[in-house]
Amino acid sequence: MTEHDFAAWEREAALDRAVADDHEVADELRVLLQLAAPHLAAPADRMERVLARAALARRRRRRAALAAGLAVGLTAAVLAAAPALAPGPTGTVLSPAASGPALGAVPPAGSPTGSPTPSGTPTGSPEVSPSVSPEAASGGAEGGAPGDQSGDGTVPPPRPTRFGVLDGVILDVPSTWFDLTVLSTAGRPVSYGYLASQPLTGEAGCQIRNGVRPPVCLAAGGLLDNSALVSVQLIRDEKAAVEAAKRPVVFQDIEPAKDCLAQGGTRQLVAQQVIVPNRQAEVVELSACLRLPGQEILSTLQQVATSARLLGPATNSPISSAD
Amino acid sequence: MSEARPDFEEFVAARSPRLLRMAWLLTGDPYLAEDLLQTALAKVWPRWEQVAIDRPEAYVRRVLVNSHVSWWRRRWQGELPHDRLPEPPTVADPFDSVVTSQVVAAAVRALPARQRAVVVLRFFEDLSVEDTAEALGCTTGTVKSQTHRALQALRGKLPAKELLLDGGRRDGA
Repeated sequence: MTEHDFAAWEREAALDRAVADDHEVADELRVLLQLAAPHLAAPADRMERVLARAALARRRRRRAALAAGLAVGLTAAVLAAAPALAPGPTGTVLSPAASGPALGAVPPAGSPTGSPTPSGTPTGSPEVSPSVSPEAASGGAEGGAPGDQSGDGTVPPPRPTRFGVLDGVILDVPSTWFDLTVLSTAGRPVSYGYLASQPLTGEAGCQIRNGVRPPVCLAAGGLLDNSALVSVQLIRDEKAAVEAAKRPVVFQDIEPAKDCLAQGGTRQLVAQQVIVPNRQAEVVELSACLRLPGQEILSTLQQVATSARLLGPATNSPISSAD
Repeated sequence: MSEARPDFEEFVAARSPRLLRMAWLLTGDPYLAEDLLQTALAKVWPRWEQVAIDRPEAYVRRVLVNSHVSWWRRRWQGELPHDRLPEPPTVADPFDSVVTSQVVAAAVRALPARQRAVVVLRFFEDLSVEDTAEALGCTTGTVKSQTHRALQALRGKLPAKELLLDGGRRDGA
């Protein structure tokens, strides 16, 4: 036996002794785990969900393989076109040629022809509160679906909302919805904007989950039926922007993430819009977590995604500090 | 959508309850547990023909544990191990078996993902050191050391098992 073998043998023997000493705790733990683990009910459609996930993964792999094989010339062409579409420092939205029609599209309320607005430091109210009108709040508190009609049967116009920390991107948010900006911190390196069709609460009002307090949560504790929680983030990656520019701005189904499922979400959709704030293309990504969505909320989401722009009058989204 | 093979469906129907309990011990959350189980099953489904030949449950268990460790690494839930138990439940009645079971689950959840996986495989699934090492793709020495560390961490944090066993019999029934 070499010296090395002997050292390994000695280590192993020491471990065996240590494990033997733990015998009592181990026996106790064996019983406790069996007693503690609950017998959870299985969803009736588990098999369908598993097969849907497997099919989605297969499609994603195929798409990735296809994307990897795309001609470099197309990338170069889009890159070459980007500066031409960004005439000034105030920026513009790079509309893809194949941009798909919005579902039941309505023109955005905020005109992009307005005077340029600063896209630097946000000037929103510092308190953690959804920026919503009182009449909207009363409707939203019930978790009503987006696009709720006012008493006279007319749909209120959307509310242009600026996310200052996301390079000032403006989205037309239904007036009954809620919005909040969450700034990046040392632990959360990315700033997010949030939109929801039901009341939102900032970090201070959220319950600790798995030892961590989430930056934002739904006041009702989870998504209500036919409701949406949308996160908006900026991807400052020109390569990603070039890829996104090739695709139409339409929501795509993805596998619901853990945090979406934890909110009671049943479906997750992602859409990307390209903006060019400072001669450099960036991607605005909207990720929507939905619970049993109807056609109306899907149309509304599509309108929100296609409304992404940099110019025009808008209300600043309130900021939730991480304190 | 792909059609399920009957033997896969049978496997899911028969083995899911046990696997779901295991996933719950790993995640501590019923929704995440279901999600973890579905993730593992969806990963296994395309390879089912090969998997079904030899110990399919061991393979699914391995995928499940590794998926959980992978989630944990990516901090999808911002989950962090703590010395102290997170959200310690208020033990209003020490004989309440439900609360005691929460204490057990919280103590296990406070372990780092790898140690948690070792504990669940060794003491819930009753796997040998060798089988646990195979499931986790590590050496038996690593399993032993992780087991020792986990048990050291759990020592003193676990309630007496009599509290769970006798929880429903405290009135002398």
